[in-house]
Amino acid sequence: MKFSILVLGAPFSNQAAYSAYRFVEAMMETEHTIHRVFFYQDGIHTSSALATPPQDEHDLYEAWQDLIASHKIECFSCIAAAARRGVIDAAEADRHGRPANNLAKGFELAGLGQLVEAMVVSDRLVTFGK
Amino acid sequence: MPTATLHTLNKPESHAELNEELARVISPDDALLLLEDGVYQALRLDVTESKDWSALCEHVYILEDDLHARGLKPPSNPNSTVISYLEFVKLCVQYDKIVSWY
Amino acid sequence: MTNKEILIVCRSTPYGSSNAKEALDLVLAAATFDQSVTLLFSGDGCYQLIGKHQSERIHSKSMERMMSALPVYGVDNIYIDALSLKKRAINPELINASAQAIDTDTIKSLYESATTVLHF
Repeated sequence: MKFSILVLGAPFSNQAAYSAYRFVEAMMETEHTIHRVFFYQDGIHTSSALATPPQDEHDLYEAWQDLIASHKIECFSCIAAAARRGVIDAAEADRHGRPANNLAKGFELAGLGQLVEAMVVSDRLVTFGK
Repeated sequence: MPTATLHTLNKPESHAELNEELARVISPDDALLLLEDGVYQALRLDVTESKDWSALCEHVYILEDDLHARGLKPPSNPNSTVISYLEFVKLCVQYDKIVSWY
Repeated sequence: MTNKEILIVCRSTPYGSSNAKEALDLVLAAATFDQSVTLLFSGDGCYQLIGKHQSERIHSKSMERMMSALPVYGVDNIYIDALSLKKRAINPELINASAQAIDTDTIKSLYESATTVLHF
């Protein structure tokens, strides 16, 4: 079966991004596939390259990046939700004259159409809310 | 053909209206997964006189890591099962859709 | 794209959090992609439908105006939970006329017939 995952909460603020991470990790042990992970609302913070947990805490940001890299998982953050909250890529930084960009490796910015497509094309959508 | 839904719930009882709305919608063929702070609702599963989720749906599942993280013990209610993330994935396949309540 | 039945349930007040706006953004995106979208207002979401917003007073986009665009996008199935209205002492006359008040059984059938359900 083809799954898509929707993440609505930011790492650390609540468990949404963590539970989603554990779920996706578990999926890798099955024959089912992940079509897309979509980060919306505060979930977009998962795609920040600048978030820096303390050394003695679990780095969920790095965990997501490793998971994405190891299994080639398609991860999108909603471009509008991310921009509002201060996560932008190089193209957006350029377009809006911002001093820096901070989208983490393995993530892409996309419109809500990608979430709609994920809902339509997937057999299952699992939402992790805040 | 009527569908059977896996509902997920990540909040404790204090989120009264969230719980009420889920109770209004959940069907006897549906299942409920308690995860994150929702695992606190597992405490009520072993209190005999109180009405709990096991009376409203087919089965109550509880995510084991969230349960143990919070110092809680698996309930003995036979209509409940403590599960892993892998089993959570398998439940998603078994049910027709997943509706998350948060 | 094959058609799915998407049910979006708005349970949050407008303006106090981003939930209402981000729900509507998704509703409009789904409608733009020709998906069948049903919108249900329940719990605190009912407050969204009280009319005559002066949102500019808090430097916000009007949720009311966004909602008025829904029929233009082909989103006609707009419902509101009658019980939530009653619990909040909201006079049904205050509510945007495009939303139809429905009971618990109807809400249950909306959840059952949808292929995807999201809460905001």
